[in-house]
Amino acid sequence: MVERLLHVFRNTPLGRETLLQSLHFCKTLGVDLHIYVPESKQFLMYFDHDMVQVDLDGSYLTSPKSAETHAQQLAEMFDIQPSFFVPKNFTASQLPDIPTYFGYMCCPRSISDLSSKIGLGYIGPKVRRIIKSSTFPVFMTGGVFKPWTSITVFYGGSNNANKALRWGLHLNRASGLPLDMFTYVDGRKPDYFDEQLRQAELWDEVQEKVRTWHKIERGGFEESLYAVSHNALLIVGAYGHGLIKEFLFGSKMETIQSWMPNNMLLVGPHCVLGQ
Amino acid sequence: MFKTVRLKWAIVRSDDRLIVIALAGVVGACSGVAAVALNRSLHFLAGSLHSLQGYWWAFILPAIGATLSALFLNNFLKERAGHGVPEVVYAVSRYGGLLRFRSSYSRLVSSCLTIGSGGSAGPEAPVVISGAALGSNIAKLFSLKERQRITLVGCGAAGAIASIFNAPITGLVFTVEVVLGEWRSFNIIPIAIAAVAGTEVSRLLQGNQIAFQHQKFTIGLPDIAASFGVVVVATALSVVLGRLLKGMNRVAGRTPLPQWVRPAVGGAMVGLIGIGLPFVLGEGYHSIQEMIQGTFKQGLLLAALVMVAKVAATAFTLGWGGSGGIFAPSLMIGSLVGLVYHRMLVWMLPTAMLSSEGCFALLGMAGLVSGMLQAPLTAIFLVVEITGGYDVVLPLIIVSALTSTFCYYIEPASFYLRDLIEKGQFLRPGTDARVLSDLTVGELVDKVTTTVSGDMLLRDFLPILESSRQHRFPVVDRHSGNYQGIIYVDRIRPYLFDPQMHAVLMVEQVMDAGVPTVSADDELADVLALMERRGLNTLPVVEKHHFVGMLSKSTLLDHYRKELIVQAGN
Amino acid sequence: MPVRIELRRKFIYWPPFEGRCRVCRKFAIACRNDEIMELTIKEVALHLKIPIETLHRWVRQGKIPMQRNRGEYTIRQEMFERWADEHKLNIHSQSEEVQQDGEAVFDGVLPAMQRGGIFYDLQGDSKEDALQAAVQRIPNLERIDRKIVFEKLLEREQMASTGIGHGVALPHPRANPGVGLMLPQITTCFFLKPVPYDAVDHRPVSVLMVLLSGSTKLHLSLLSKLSFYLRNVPFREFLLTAPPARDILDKVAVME
Repeated sequence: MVERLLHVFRNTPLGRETLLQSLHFCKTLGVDLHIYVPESKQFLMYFDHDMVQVDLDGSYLTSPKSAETHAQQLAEMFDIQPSFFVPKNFTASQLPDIPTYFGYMCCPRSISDLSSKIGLGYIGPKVRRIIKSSTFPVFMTGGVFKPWTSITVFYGGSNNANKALRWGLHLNRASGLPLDMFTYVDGRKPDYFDEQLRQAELWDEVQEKVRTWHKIERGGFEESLYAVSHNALLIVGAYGHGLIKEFLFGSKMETIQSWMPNNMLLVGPHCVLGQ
Repeated sequence: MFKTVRLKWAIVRSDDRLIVIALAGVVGACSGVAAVALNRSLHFLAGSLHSLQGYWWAFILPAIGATLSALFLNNFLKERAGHGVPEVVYAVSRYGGLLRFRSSYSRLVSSCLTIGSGGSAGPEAPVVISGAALGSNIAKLFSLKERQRITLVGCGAAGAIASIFNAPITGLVFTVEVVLGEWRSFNIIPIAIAAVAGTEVSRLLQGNQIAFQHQKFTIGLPDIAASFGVVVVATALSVVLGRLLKGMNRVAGRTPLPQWVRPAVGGAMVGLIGIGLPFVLGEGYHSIQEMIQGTFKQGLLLAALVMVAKVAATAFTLGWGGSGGIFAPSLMIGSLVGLVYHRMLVWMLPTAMLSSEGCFALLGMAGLVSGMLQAPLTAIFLVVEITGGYDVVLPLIIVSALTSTFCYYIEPASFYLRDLIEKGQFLRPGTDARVLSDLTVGELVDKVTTTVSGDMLLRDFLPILESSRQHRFPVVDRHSGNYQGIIYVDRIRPYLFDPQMHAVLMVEQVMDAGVPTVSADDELADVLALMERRGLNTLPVVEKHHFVGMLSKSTLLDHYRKELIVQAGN
Repeated sequence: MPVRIELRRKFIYWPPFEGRCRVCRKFAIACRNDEIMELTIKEVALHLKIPIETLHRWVRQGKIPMQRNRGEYTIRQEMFERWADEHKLNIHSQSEEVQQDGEAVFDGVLPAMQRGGIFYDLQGDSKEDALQAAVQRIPNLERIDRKIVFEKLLEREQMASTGIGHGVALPHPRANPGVGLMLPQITTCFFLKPVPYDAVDHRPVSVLMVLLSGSTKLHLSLLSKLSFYLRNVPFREFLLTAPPARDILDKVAVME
C-alpha cells in the first residue's frame, strides 16, 4: 500500500512554503499527497486513544476559492497529482472529522495560534497533542522551503529512539538518500549504544545503511548540534519518556527543536511503522 | 505459590470487567456531582434573577442568557452547539465513545446561562454529555479499550440522569435504551453501579427528595379507557414540538444575522411570552409539581394557552441556538397535556368516574417523553420513580407504549437521533450498518498473485490460465504498472475454444475495462450498494491506478460473520 | 556452533519452527518456557484466519483481551482458547486445501506403474473375463476389495467403454473405490490374444492398464497424463509388442 501524507493547506505565502516542503517530501519518498483545504476553522481528529480538536489559525481560511487552484499549481511544479480530501463525517453536525489512517501528517510548528508565533523553540499545543497521540510521524516544516538531501536520525538509545531509527531506515530505503546517525554520548559508555542497537535487532542494518555515525563525546549537547548537516531531514523520537523524567532531565527533542531550523520528522510514542 | 498468584493476576488483568466496574462507580459519582452542580447553580441563578422579573425590560434577560451561552460555547470553547445527546450517540457509534474533555463542563455552563435566565430548556441533556465526557476521559486516563470506554460513557450518562432525577433505574434504562442501545450484562452491570453512585451522591448533597411528591391515586377502568385519549393528544403534541423545533432551526439558519445574535432573538421572544405567562420560563419543574398535586389554579383555557406557549417557547429557545435539552420541557408540556385533557373530559362528561388530574398529568408526561425520545421504557420508569408512586403504572404503560409507536409511524426517528439517522451515522452495535462501518475495504482485499499484461497474446495467456486457479486476472500495463481492466474467465470462453483466435487476440481486447473499481478507503456500505446495482460479486480494488487486489462477496461473508460474532459477544 | 541471541522477551522462540503450536498443531512455534505460552498478534490472526489489520482493530476496540507486553500485544494461550470458545470461533480447523497438501502428491506415471506392476500373458475371451483376470493381478489389494474394484470397473465399462482405441484400454472406476489405497497405481496387463472390448475404434484390445487411486484429484491427473503418453504413436506401437517390463519403465522415464 502506498503511504499517504496529509497536508492541511494554508492559502498564504507561508502556507505555500509549507506545501512546497510537503511536495518535496512526497516526491522524494514516493508518498501520495492528500490535501485538505479547510472550510471551517475547526476540525477533529479521532486517534485510537485520544481525540484532538484543532482550531485553525484564521489565515487558513484566506480566500478559499483560490486555495485549490493554488495548491494544484504548486503540485504541478513537482509533477504530483494531489488528492483533495473532502470530509465525510461531522461531529455535532458541523465539525469535520479528519480520518487518521494517513502515513504522515505535515504540520507547521503551529496550526492553531497566530503564525507570528512560529519560530524556533515553539511548538503549538495542538501540534504537540497530535504528535503525542498519532499513529503516524509528524513532518514539522521549517519556515521556508529548503529541499533536504540527507537524513539524520537522532539516536539516544531509548525505545523511542529505536523507533525513530527504524523510520530513518525506512525513509532511507524509500528515498535512497544517505542516512546519518547522531548520538550525544552524555557520559554513557560508548558501546552502550551498540548494545542497544543489537538488542533492537537493528545492528546489522545500521552497519549496512548508515553513512556516518556521529558520536559526540565532548562538549555540551547544544554545541554539538553544529555538526548536523544544514540540509538534512532530522528524525527525532518525541515524548518517549514519562512526564516526570522529562521534567527532571529535560527532553532532547525540545533542545533540538529550539536549536535546529531544519525540517523534522517527529516520531511520537504511538507511531507504528508499516501500517 | 507466587507463580499461581501471578497466573491468576494475569487472568484478572485481562478480564476487563472488574476495572470497568470499579471505574463505573467513580464515573457515576463524578457525573452525579456535575448534575448536582448544575441543579444548584440553576436554582441560584433563577433565585438571584427573580427580583428583576418585575421590571419591564425583564424580557431581555433570556436573550442575554442565550447569547452569553452561545458565545461561550461557540467562541470561547469553540465547541459547536447542539443539545448533547446526539453527539454522545455519534461518538459511541463511530469513535468508540471518544469525547472532548471540554464537553464535560461546557454544556453545564452554557445551559445554566440559558435556563437560569429564563430560557425554556432542560438541564438533562447537558448533564448527560458532561457525564459521558467525564466517563470517556476517565477511560482515556486508564487507557481502556473502546468497548470499555463506551461502557464508561454510558456510566457517565446514567449517573447524571440518576442524580438529576434522584432515579437510578431511569438512569440505567435511559442509557441503555437511548445512548447505547445494547442490552448486555457487560454494559448493564457497570451502568447500574454508576446509576447507584450518581443517585447516592445526589442524595448526600441535596437530601433524599423525590422530585415530585403526590398523593395516592386510585386508578379505575374509566381511567384506563381515558388514557387512550392521552395517547392521541400526546402523539400530536410530540410531533408538533419536534417539527416546530426543526422548523425554527431552519428559519434561524436562514436569517442573515450573525450566529451569536440568533439566540438573542429566540431568547427575547421567550422573554416576551414570559411577560404574559411566566410559567413557560425555565425548566418548569415548579409548575409540574403544582399540576401533579392538583394545585394548578389556572382554568382550562389558560392551561391550554400555557401549553401552546410552552411549546413555542421551547422551540424559540432551542431552535434559535440556546443551549439545553428537551427532556424537562417535554415533561412540562406533557403534564400540561394531561391536565388540559383531563379538564376537557370533566367538562364534557361531568359524570365520568375519573381519577384526579394529577394522575393525568403523569400520563401526559410519560406520553410526551416516550413520544419525543421514542423510548417507552425510560418514560415508564422515569414517571414511576420521580413520583415515587406505583399506582399509575398500568395506564402509564399503555400511554408510553402506544405513544412511542404512533410517533414512530409519523416520525420514524426520535428527536435525538433524527439528524444521525439522516446522515447514516446511527450505528447500533450488532447491526448491519455497524458491522459494515467497522470493516474496511482494506481488510477484505484478496491478494491476487497472478496479473497479466495488456499486450499479451491470448496464446501466451493460455498456459497461465492452465496453471492458475484464479477465475479473474487483473490486467496491468507492462510499463507503467497501471491497472487496465480485468479478465473474467467465464466471459472469454468463445475465444478460448477458438484456436484461430489465440494468435490474433490480445488480452486487452478481451478484458472487461468497464468494471467499476473501488479504493481501499471507500465505505463498505457504498461498495456493497455498487455491487448490488451492477450485479457483480467481485470488484477490483485500485489505488492510484495500481491494482491492489479483489474484493469478493465470499470473503466479505466470512469476515462479516466473524465481525458480527465478535461484536455481538458470546 | 550454538547461536546466542539477545533475550528481549521473557519467552523466546529459538530455533524457530521447531515444535508445534499447542492450539492447532499447525503453526509451528517452539517455546522454551512451557508454562507461559503467549501468542503474538500475528499468530492469533493466523489462528482466526483474519487479516492482521482486523485483529489490530479488534484489539483497539477491546473485542479481544490482548495485553501490551513490551510494546507488543500478546495473549495467553488459554485465555485465547477460552475467548474463542465463548465466541464460538473456530481456531482448530484446517482448511481443505491444507489437508490435501498433507495427502499423497501426484508423483508421476512411472512410480504409479512401478507400484501397479506389469503382467504378461493374461487370458480372457470377454470383457468381464479380461477384467476379472486383470483384477486378480492387482497388488496391494485386500481380497474383499478385489470384488469391489471389479464391480466398480464393470459398472464404469457399462456406461462407456474405456477402450481408447488402437488396442489399448484404461479401465478405471468412476469414483474413488474407497479401498484405502494411499498412492495411485497403474497395473499393466498384456493379453495373449486380443479381447473384444467395444473400444471406440471397435478393435479388440490387447493391453489393459488399470488405474486405481485414493482421491479423485490424483486420479484425474494420472488419467490425463497417461492418455497424453498414449497419444504418442511410437510409444503406443511399442507397448502393443508387449515388451519387457524394464523397457517399458525406461521408456516412460524418458517421457517424464
